[in-house]
Amino acid sequence: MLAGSDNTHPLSGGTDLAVAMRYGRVKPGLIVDLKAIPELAPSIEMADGLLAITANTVMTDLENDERIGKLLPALVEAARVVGSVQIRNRATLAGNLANASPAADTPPVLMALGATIVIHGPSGIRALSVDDFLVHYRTTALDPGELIVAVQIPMPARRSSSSFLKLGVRRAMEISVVCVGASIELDEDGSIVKAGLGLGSVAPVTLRPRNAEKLLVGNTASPELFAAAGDAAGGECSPIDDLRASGEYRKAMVPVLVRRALSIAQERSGVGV
Amino acid sequence: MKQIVLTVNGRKHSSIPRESFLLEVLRDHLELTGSKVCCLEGECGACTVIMDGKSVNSCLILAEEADGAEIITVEGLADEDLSPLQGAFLDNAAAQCGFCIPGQLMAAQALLDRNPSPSRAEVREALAGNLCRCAGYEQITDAVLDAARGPT
Repeated sequence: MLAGSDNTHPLSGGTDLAVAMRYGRVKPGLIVDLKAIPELAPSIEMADGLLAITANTVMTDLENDERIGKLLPALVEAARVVGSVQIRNRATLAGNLANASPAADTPPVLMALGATIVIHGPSGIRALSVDDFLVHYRTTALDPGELIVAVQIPMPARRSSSSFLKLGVRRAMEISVVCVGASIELDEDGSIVKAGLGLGSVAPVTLRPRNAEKLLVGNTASPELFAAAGDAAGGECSPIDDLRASGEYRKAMVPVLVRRALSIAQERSGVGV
Repeated sequence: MKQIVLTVNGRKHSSIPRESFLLEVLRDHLELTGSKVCCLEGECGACTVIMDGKSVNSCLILAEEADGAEIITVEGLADEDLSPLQGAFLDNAAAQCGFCIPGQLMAAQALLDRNPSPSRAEVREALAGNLCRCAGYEQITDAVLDAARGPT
């Protein structure tokens, strides 16, 4: 049904689609309500080293899941700043990805955590990383007729943790000036085995600062190393001026937020602090 | 085509118009005008209703999505007397112009239903999506906390 026409829109939470329809930016010929598909019903499951979140799982489901709060704190931190409770009771994690806004809160965290997006379509099932899924400004790798069915996140290893920081003009109901997701895994000596970063509101698409990640891996976690990674990340982004902040300010804030997010993640991992 | 059926404040309604949003169904079709038309983009919360136990922006929900749902609007809070929450709003002079109050009440009621003794911070968080153009936030927060404490 989804593949039938260019003007068919999948709907789950509808918090973006409904606004676009109200303002006439989208005039769907047909809407397919994914909430009517039993396989996509809200569900958060842990199995085979993966946390699997189905497409109709909403932000408040994530916030209220104690397992996620403990294992993947960054995901809860990002989920709970998406709009209001009313929005989060409807808005889905999959929709936050599919909407592909560069200012979205959860994609930077999913990127940092190495999440995989599971897609079903007329030609079968495929899985993409967040950086391969988010192609460009408001553009995803979804082909006509394809749908996100689930988001899978690797369960964190021992001595690892994550964090999310958001800078906004006010505390609630806010689109980010800059937001950062960070995750690190350390060995028992405090050397970084794995590092993941994602940046929001600093480029046309959620940005993965690869140079900063490379700088971290293989080195011993320290405030100096985190500062250097922050500076590298600042150099990788290309923010614009808009009503919320200037590009220059955003670029200056990236190193600060990346450094802080990494420190918080290290603190939570319990290694070398 | 199957009819859309809604239960609103305990009463079942069918013949709900398609291609309409829940807010307009409530106001124009069922003549329950407590839920307000304001930003129409999920920013202000004036259209907040409780749908299957959760606070939602009725301006962002299609009638079809609400098929089979149990909805409570501000008109469903009081029976003969005002509800305890409404009474607390009155006692705390929480309504100034009053336009946002139906939405504030429904967001607050949904909070109290799932968390009967919220902290001040939890009240503020639950009502973050409800703007008050008179900026009466302190009185509104006080009222919700009073209602949670019960009659003194």
